[in-house]
Amino acid sequence: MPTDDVLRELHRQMVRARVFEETIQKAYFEGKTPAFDIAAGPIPGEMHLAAGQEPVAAGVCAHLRPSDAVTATHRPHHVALAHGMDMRRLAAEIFGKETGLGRGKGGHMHLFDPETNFGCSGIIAEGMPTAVGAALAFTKQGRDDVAVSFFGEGAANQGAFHESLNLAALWHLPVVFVCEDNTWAISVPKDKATAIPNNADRSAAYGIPGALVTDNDVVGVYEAAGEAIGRARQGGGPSLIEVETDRLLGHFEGDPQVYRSAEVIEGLQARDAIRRFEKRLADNEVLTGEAAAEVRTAAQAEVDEAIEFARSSPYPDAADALDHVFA
Amino acid sequence: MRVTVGLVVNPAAARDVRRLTSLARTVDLHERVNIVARVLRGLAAAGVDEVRFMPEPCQVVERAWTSLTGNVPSAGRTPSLRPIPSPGPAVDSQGTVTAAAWLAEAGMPCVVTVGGDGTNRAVALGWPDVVFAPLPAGTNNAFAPPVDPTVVGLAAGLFARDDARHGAHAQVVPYLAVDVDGIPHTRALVDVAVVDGAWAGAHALWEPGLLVEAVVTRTDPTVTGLAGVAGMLDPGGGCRAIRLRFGPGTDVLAPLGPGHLAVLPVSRWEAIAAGEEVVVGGGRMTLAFDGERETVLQPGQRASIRLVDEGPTVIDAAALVRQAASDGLFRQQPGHGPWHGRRPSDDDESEA
Repeated sequence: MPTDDVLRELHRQMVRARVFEETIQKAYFEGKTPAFDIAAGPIPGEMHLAAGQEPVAAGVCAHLRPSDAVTATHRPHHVALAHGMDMRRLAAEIFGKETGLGRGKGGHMHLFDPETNFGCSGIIAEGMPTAVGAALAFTKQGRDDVAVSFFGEGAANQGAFHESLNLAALWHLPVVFVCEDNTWAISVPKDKATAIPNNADRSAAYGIPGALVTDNDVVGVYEAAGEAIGRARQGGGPSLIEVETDRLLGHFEGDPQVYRSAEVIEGLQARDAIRRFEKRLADNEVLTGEAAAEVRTAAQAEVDEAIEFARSSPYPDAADALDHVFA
Repeated sequence: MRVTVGLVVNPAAARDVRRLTSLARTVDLHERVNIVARVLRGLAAAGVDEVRFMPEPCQVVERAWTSLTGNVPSAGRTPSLRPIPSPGPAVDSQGTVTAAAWLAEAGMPCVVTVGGDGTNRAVALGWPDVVFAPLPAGTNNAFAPPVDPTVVGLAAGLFARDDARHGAHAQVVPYLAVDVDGIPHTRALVDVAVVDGAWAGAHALWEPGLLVEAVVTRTDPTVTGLAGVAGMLDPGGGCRAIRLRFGPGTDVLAPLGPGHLAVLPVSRWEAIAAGEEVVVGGGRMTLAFDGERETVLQPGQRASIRLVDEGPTVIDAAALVRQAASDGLFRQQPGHGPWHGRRPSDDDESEA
């Protein structure tokens, strides 16, 4: 059961992530109209925003320390911020600037931060074996750090999912697998692609515990993640948490979302986890509406400053194009 | 006479956080399907013609039916399956409540339930005087003793065919009626717990330190959950219900969850009589019903918990089948052809 201070911090982290995504969304569409051109404007390339999935990142990362390893997906901003990534260097990377985490050469899907042991990739399920490797390293080094791998429900149908759970279980590694189940793998609904309804069940095949958290509830995520991470840190081995969450936006910015109806999208917006949480915080006299508004104002100021840092930073020199890349 | 039985399967039971906080088992989809398939075999052997079932997204019943194709032959004809009318699959406990209400309206003689204590509670909310044949497929299963699903299906089928004959093995059990600020709110079959804090969180109840007090209707030291805690104090089950207050007093070793033997400080406990009310509230607290944190009491709100003696009816599958075997219901002379769940004498009766 989180304390009031923890509840307020969970709220703050969710709001920071939401405001960041909203602000990136506006910047992303600059210069891309009237004809949508993903190469135009200050942020080139595809953009995958995580609005709606903040409870998963906030609830899990609240139990982590910077030395714990985190891997995330092609939709990584909320997790990166919740794990403590420098927002300015994150923004600069998204804008393709020299001051970004990868000197502007990775973009928003390829964020690597040694300060917070964070990595992500555009390849589905790529972060899962990476997290297993990090957990193996922690074990070999005698550290009590843990690795957490965030992945989508679509990734659970990839071979890497099964290989990762198998090795983590076999070697009894301190890794927690967190499935962000937003029910949509790009445009494919979960029930059209997955043989079983709950990926938590798949933990049984590898002899590790698996738990389901419903309703995109940050307190539920916080409680389950606390148990799983504490268990891993104490040598209890790996576990799997499946969180039913919501993707409020399209798969990518500009996605016409022809695969789901306006009613479905409106229904998701109506049950926005942050708004529901704010109501409960107010009902329980943990955070007033005015205080919640102040949290948003502060988050906007922090995000604006990070975006300004990104905009004002230089692009990498063309002469360095082949430096620090592997291909 | 066409014999029909209801069937409610909770596809989500046994997946909550207690997989991490205790040694609660995982009931995966395959196991759930297998349980239902065995129930269908039992119903078939008992001569049930039709099953009306709650449609749900995982399609456990449909999968069970499919799994029987090409399987080892078994006695009787598999009953026909018909989903109950509904606008869509049941996606939450309210769907179960609605389905149970339909089964009650349709006059089902009994319903087989596959889930935990929470599942049975949802069924009883929709069908207050339900006749259950419960199967344990949840985390805590105080309400459903472990009996093979084949036998539970057989028992439910026999009861549905002749409740007058088998009614001696169906017991009416009490329940707990809960009002909030004087307004009827809900009911629970096993326990109502008062939990510190104003958050339902992961719903499941597992932290001993959060327990403030509880009212428990089933006291059995051999089951897990609060019923097990109460059972340690009232092992003979002599009380219809007891009220537990947690705090310094007597330390009680009790199975709070699967594999979770907790030492709980109990400051007081006392028997509760039918009609007696326990009033709680006044601070930040949450009410948990049958193991699930659900209702957050607002500051100043009061809840009353009242024992009601006449609640649902539970079929004792093991006792019923033992009696049926003693009565020779499972024996027939050679030459009567395949077993269809009906003895020649039964057919004579139905023709008459």
